[in-house]
Amino acid sequence: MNKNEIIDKYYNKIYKLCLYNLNNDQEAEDLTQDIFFKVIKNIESFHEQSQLYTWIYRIAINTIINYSRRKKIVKFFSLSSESGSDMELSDMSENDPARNNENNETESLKLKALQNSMKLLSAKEKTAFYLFCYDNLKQKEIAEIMKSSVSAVESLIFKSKRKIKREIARTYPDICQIKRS
Amino acid sequence: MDKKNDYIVDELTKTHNDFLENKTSDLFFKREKLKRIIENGKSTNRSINLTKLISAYTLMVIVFTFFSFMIINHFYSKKMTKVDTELNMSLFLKDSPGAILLSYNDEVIK
Repeated sequence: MNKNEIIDKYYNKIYKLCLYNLNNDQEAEDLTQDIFFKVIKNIESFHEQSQLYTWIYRIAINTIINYSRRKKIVKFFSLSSESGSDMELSDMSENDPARNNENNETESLKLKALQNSMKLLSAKEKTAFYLFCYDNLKQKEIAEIMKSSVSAVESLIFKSKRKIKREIARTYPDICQIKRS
Repeated sequence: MDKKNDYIVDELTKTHNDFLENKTSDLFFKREKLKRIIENGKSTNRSINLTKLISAYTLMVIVFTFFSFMIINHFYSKKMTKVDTELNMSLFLKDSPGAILLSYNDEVIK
């Protein structure tokens, strides 16, 4: 597989992973670029002991974690917050005029609730949750990507779901009521 | 409560996933841009400026050193002046600094 094929095949997935972690289009694009630079640079060291996507995901996750750490330090020392604006949650329905305003508000509220509750998750929990619930990977594959055991991954997913559930029930009881009614 | 809200996480995850899918549906230009950048071999990442971070650290060290010096100077300058005076007088009168201090105290008491 050559460079362009790798980019064509994995760009969207990696971009989505970055967007999920950073909530910012510009940062996601920059970080995706960095990740692919690393992948292309080190492609010769990949000896097919694991699958290519597992290897790329591992690089992506490590890069995102390092970036988030650096961002925290820079944010601490920086006098201005100029890292760009976060995604507008209301953007989600712009491309779908069939949805009415009430639905937009409800969905924005849901996303806000989910994003706020995700702040409680650790980096590992967030990654495991994403790979399982968003990318639909199997626990065995996630364990391979995260270099841990299947039971540890299972535990991370369970904990993250529980944290999200509790936080949403605590801070956004309206959402639970919307669903029940 | 936990069991009652089991469906909520799935529901919210699905909504969020749709949102992300929508955001990543049209990335053709970004992909092509990345291919060109990789061909040229130059990264244009500008999101975190490490130079900024290093200068912030340097500035912090300079400020810390300056204030440390000021504080040390403030607390020790008076003591040093007194000791210096006693030492100079002892050299001039050819007596020990302790004796000078005692005679000075006697004068003050009188």
